[in-house]
Amino acid sequence: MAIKKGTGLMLSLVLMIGLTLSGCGGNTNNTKNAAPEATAKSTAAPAANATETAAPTEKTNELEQVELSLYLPGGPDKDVASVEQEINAYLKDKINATIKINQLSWDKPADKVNLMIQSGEVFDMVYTWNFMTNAAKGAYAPLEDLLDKYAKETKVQINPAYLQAATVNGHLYAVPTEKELGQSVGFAFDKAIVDKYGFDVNSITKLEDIEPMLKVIKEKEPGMSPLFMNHTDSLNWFTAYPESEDLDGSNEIPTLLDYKTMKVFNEYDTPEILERLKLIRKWYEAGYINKNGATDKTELKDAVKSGKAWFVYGNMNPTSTNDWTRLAEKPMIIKTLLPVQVGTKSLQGSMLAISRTSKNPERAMMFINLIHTDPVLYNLLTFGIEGKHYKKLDANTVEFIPDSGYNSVSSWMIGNVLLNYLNKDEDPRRVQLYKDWNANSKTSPVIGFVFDSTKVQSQIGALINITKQYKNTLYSGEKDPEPILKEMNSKLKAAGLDAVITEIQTQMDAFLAAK
Amino acid sequence: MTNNEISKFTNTLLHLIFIILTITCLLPIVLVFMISITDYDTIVLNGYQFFPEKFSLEAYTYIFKDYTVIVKAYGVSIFVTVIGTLLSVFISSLYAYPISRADFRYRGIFAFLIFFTMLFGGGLVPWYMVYTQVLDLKNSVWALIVPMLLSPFNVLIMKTYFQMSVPPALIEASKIDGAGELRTFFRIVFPLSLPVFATIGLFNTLHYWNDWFNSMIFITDTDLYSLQYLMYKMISQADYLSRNGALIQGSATELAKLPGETIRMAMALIGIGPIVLAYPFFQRYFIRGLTLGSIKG
Repeated sequence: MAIKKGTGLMLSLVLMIGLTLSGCGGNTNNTKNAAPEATAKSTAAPAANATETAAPTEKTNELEQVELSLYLPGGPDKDVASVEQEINAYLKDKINATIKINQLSWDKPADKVNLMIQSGEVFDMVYTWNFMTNAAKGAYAPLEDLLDKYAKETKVQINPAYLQAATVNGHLYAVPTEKELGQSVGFAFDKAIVDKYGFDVNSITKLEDIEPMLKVIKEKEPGMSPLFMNHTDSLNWFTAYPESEDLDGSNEIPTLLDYKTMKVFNEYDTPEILERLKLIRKWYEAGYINKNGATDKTELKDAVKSGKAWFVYGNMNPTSTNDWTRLAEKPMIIKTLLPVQVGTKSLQGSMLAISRTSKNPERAMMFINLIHTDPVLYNLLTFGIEGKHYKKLDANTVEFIPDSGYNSVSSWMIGNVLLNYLNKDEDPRRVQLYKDWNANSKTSPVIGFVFDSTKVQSQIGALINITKQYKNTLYSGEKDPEPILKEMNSKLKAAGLDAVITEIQTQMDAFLAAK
Repeated sequence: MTNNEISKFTNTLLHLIFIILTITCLLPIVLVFMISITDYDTIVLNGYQFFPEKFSLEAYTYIFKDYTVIVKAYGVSIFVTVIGTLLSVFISSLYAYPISRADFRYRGIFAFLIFFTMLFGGGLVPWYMVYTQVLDLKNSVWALIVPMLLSPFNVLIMKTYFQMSVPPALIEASKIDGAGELRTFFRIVFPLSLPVFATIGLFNTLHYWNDWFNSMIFITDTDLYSLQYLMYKMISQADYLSRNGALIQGSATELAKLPGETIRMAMALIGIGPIVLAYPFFQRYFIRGLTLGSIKG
């Protein structure tokens, strides 16, 4: 009888678990939940495979023909096949490989790649989404030997900071795109307005400096929002702590590292943030900020284009003047505010990795070397075929042919952007701009540090929710910041912010000690 | 007959209620349509309006710029919906019928199997592996059909229906009259169970028509996109590009300029498409289904 009772209990337990599981499983969208079970198994087997094939050294002319698959974001473009054909003809003599370009579109490409990785699918090269997680799981092949052997030219020219940022647990797991180092935050102003009122945008050195301009706009341009905000872009772009770096993996919770003291702190619990939020509140009360800033869905560029706003703000890069002019469809002037910061995260922005499951990692590395050093191949990949997808205006300047069926492989995804032809819309000084930008950028003292969040995963989840709940209200200026900040901080504390900060600090100390 | 008549007042009231209901159903669609033909800058400045200041067909021009893609996607969706519905109804009924029969020796096992898979899913990764590595369906139109062929829930509905409304005595009688199992199923059981076939058919039609997930997971070839996924992709692409406009270098400039909100609305209208026509077709069976229990059999 006792046994029977036990079995009955067991069965009902199994049933209950089953029901809960099927509840989760029913939502096929939820990749993350379903993932972990299969991961360990599927990545272990192909790993052995990769180390075997990495060894042999052949000469280029004796290579047997192989097909390499390449997975990129964007597209898919209609005419990708003809570009593939052209690339393959070109690659024949170089590395005797053919390329299959798989464009994953912008819609959840990371989920698709995660599925491929977890199911142990055989593929060669992939743009790295969730780089840290996948690298730690062993999804990518270690590249340091391959880089030394098959990509010497790339290794010489690439900025060492990039390789440092792509190194996890002592192994290089990806080759980053060579482009601008880091990003800066700033404004892009509508030139017509700036000229009309004679604003001196170059005099802006901190956020407060735009106040007189907001006042002028408020008085003289009744139809215009002096400071336009939407639900994704608010003044939290402009940190109140320039000498710091956000360290947690999520980028959504208040954990800043102070460069001077190397201590991690909660930025919402400092006098600086209160002062900043009071300023925003003041602007809101003065009517500079639109009333529904925390929820508005209008993109900044559209607001400027339609004449509802007169500037955009956010991340800026060396060619922002042209980018924003193009997007807002009117001349724009850029003013960057903070020094260009180079942190691990900005360096990991776009990288190409070789899969553990690749059957030909050395050939893939040869290909990667070529897109970093061979302008013919690189332009073919990023611009398509001359006459079909773009027209040449002069030796180095090109113009895209609209609706040509090949336009989604952008140079920032892959390779070395300085090899690119100049687009008609681009600043002719592009190469110089990039070089200046990189020369002026400030490298983070903790490049290569990557926070392993596994121990505090649940706290981070809770903290993200709290931060999201309050951030927009605080930065929209709708309410008095002081009590809200207080409430937020007590909630953050209750949700375990201190534990997360301690964990980051411990890992940071260990990282610094090892250095 | 006077008993069945309702008073004039009640009649008017009912009419009024239904007119209001109809309007609340139709107005949003009208608004969606008006937004879809509004100039995007006007939306940014004034918000949604039933009578916008400035009209523009930009959204439709953008969507139909490449009308071959839309036509193809329509083709794929219609093919998948028709073939998928027919196959899945057929297969579901072939599974449900035997386990509804008390004289089928292994019904317990098969009923358990289907019930078990309803409770315990394999998870996304194994599911993906079966279709890509065992069946090798990646980038094939069958990848849009096969994963949804058999739904345990539908099988259980059908089984219950067969048990409730096809009397075992009838099956026995047809057996005595010399009908084999197949003839019994197609000539006796099927005509008697049209309502459940229609119900499951409608479920599956909607399911296949609305599916975008399989396209997203299995298809990278533009020619095989289903309509819903194409729409979904266009919208998420427009979203992504407009949010990350500055990221997009020269090559994708045209894409970054899309009029986001109006496209979304235009697509909603296009996506409604033929499924609106499918419902009335199935509806007459539902009416029959409802009357079915009213006569004592």
